[in-house]
Amino acid sequence: MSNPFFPPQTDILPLTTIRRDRVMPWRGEVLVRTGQRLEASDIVARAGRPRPLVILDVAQKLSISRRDADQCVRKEPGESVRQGETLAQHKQGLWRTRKISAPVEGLVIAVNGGRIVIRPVPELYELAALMPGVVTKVAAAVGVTIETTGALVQCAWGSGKEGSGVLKMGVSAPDETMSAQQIDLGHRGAVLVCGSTLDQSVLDRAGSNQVRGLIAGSVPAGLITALGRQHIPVIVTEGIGNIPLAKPAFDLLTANEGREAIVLAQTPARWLAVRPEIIIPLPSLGAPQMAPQPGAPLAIGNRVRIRRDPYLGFTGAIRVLHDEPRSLENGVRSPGAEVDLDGGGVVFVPYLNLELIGGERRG
Amino acid sequence: MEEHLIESILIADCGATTTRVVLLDIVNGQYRFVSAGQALTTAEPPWSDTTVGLVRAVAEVEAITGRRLIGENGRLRVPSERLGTGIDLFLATTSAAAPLRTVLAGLVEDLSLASAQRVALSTYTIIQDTLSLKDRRSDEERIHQLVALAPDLFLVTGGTDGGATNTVLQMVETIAAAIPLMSHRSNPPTVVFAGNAELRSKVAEILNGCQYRTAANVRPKAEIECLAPAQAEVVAVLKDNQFIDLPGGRELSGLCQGTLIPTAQAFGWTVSYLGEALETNIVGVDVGSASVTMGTYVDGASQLIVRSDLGIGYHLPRLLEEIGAQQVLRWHPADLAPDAAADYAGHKSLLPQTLPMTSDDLLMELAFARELVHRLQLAAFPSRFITSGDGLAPRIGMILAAGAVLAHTPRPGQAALVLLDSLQPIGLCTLALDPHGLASALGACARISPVAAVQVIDSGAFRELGSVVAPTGKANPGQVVLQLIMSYENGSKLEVEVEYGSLEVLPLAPGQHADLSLQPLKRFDVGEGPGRSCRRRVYGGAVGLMVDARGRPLRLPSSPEDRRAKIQQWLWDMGG
Repeated sequence: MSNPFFPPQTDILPLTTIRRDRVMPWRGEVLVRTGQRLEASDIVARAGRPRPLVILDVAQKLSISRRDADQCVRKEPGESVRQGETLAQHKQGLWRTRKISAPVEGLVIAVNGGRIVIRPVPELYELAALMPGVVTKVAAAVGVTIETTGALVQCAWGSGKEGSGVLKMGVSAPDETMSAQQIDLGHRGAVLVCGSTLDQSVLDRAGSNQVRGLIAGSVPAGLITALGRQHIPVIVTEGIGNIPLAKPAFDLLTANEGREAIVLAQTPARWLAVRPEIIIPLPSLGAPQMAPQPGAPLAIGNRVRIRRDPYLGFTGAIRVLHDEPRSLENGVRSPGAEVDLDGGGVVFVPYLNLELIGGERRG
Repeated sequence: MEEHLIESILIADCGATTTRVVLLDIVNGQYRFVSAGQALTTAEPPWSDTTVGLVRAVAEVEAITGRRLIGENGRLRVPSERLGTGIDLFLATTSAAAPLRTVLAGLVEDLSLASAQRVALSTYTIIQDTLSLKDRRSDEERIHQLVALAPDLFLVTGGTDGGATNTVLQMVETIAAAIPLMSHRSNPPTVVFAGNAELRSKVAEILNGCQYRTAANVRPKAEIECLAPAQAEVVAVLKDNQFIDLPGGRELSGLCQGTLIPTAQAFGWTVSYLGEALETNIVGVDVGSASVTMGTYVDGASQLIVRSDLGIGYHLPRLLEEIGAQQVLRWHPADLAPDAAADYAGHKSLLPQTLPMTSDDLLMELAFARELVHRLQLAAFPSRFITSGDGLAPRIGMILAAGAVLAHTPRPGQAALVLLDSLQPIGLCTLALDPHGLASALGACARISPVAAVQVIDSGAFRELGSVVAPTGKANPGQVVLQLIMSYENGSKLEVEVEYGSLEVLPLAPGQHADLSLQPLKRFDVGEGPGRSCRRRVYGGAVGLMVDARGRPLRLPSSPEDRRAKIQQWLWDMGG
């Protein structure tokens, strides 16, 4: 290949070493040490979850100028205040003194321009390990890196939540869908594979039956806003619309039914080095290999997944690479590869529409 | 570096999904476009270094030309070492950096705030909020909101020079109160003050300790608008912050002669240059994955509109939020449910680099492109050019389209139809595409080596689609509104009676020219006034001479079946 193409990569691995950072959104205190063995429920760090600042307009409340208001304030930045404590007072006439009390307990962080700003005492935020493993690195005040072994399925989209539960297959084929009526109390506490897509009724039913996570091939775009409001993490392997789960992902999930599955349903964002993924911790016999690092050029024999219609979600192996542009059915011309589809047949696919399936390399 | 020492020039554009490089060199004593290469941009994880993608794109140029451009250390060979090795000049533009999240402050919506908006939209910004006289929020609510937004930039305008003072200063005080509370930001926001010049010292006093820049007042008088100084300051903030934060941005900048240039700015320079050189009004559109740009040169004035919240990749769902699925689907010849547009947009936003493989997907992408261009047009041209709720450009002589979705359509007629449908030019104009991404590259080049830019443009950098004749007026469908006679170089003639509602393509191949005689009927206008005839020389292109008598503003049939049939008919008419 005279002009190598470097495709994006998705890992679908039956057993690998997985290192993941567990990082707090705010600085706080790390409670574990390097080398410590963890259970999924262990708290690894805690921090104060900030509450909205309280801004008191002293000048307005006392009906005085901003300069005068600053003179009336009895607290300095950095001082703690209790709820109800007097923050400022102003004598009006001979008998009357008007006071402003702290509406919350907290820390005065600014006194300026006739305003007092209080940072309320934060709520306690605790970060759980979520996956069993060993702490390999501690980033002071920020979080930890945990190493475990298990199966890994990297996904296309997540609803922004995380959770774990016993993995249950709600469908028997990647292109099936689950109806709301099929979800019952037997799915309580489960991470449920609900098929190629889901709708609002499935989401509602999963919520009322205390399902801990939903895995699908895709979600319709119209459901995304509702998913963001749901407390159940929803993760999709393929994308937006109605797309069956890729067969390697479906097979891997089926093989692990009944095991504990962790759903890290982060919503992909351009600048964040996180991908939504499913981790199924497994005991390791020996030292399983790390997931292959992305960055290798596409090569003959590579296992790939196709990312656009009419072969969206199809998997196969690279048969021939074509650096010279070739025409597609719609006339678009692009360099690409001939892919031996798993279901049979060979199709030409632009390089840009291919994704390497990490851990499934041949050749 | 002195211009006469520069022979080979490599210019990179690091886009949100694709990094393109073009190689210019002297061939037979003239600068020529030699080769282009591209690779996926590597600004995002797992690579998080734009120079990785740059080297891959340069490697493609190496493979094509056989010229060694990358050294043993994996870095560009600048300057050139010996004949056929390295390059003399490297320049780069980028649209990959995160846009500046911006809060505008101004007094009056139609005056200072409108000017502030034009300044912000002239480069990569996303306007998060505005503070103005109409703002009914309490001071406390505004501070809360500003702290929650934690913008990168406050652009403060308001007051003519010597005019309003107190209200402007109150807004600055609100901002000054909010900034210290943004402790969750890794670096403090910057305030650019471009309001009443007499307030500068007071503003500086209030903003003591904040990142603060000043520019000339955007509205020194109510009737005078002065945007350029404030635009320059905002671009400087973009370069100082977002470009440095771009993964690998510092290294990329270090490789460049001069600084890393915003792609939109470079694109705008090329549009202005073309307008000046051709002495015509020109509209340039660049439809990117994470942003869309329109550069205009109209009656000697340049303007740049950038929407960093729209794009054919990452931000397609945002477009649907803004206009609704039906606005997009009206351009598709198939009977599709609204969900089809939403699902397409959602999926494409996850995989912005991918290409449509089916005809339906291609037509969907081009439908989105029409609406993206149309949104830009509505922002670029003030209301005097808008009629009946639809957008009409002023009489423009040339439309230049960049961005893969337009520049790489399978058939040139498809791109031409997108431009005709979305921009709806009137009179006579020419359409051109930028298949090699040269428009922004040459804008960047012109700052260092104007001769190179001029010579490459003159040598045919862009792909001519052909000329358009678009008569305007009112008639019934099927009525003859224009008699057209096209006299070819070989002496043959083509006489056509153009019917209202029709869209036709007449043969005129690239490199050919012909003389047109246009006689409008029924007081139709082809640019010379109602009913006035004219003669023009027109040049051929990949499509030919396009005669668009569908009327302005373009109205689609109200019946869905008729509309779909018409859309399909126009596609066929244009060879799409």
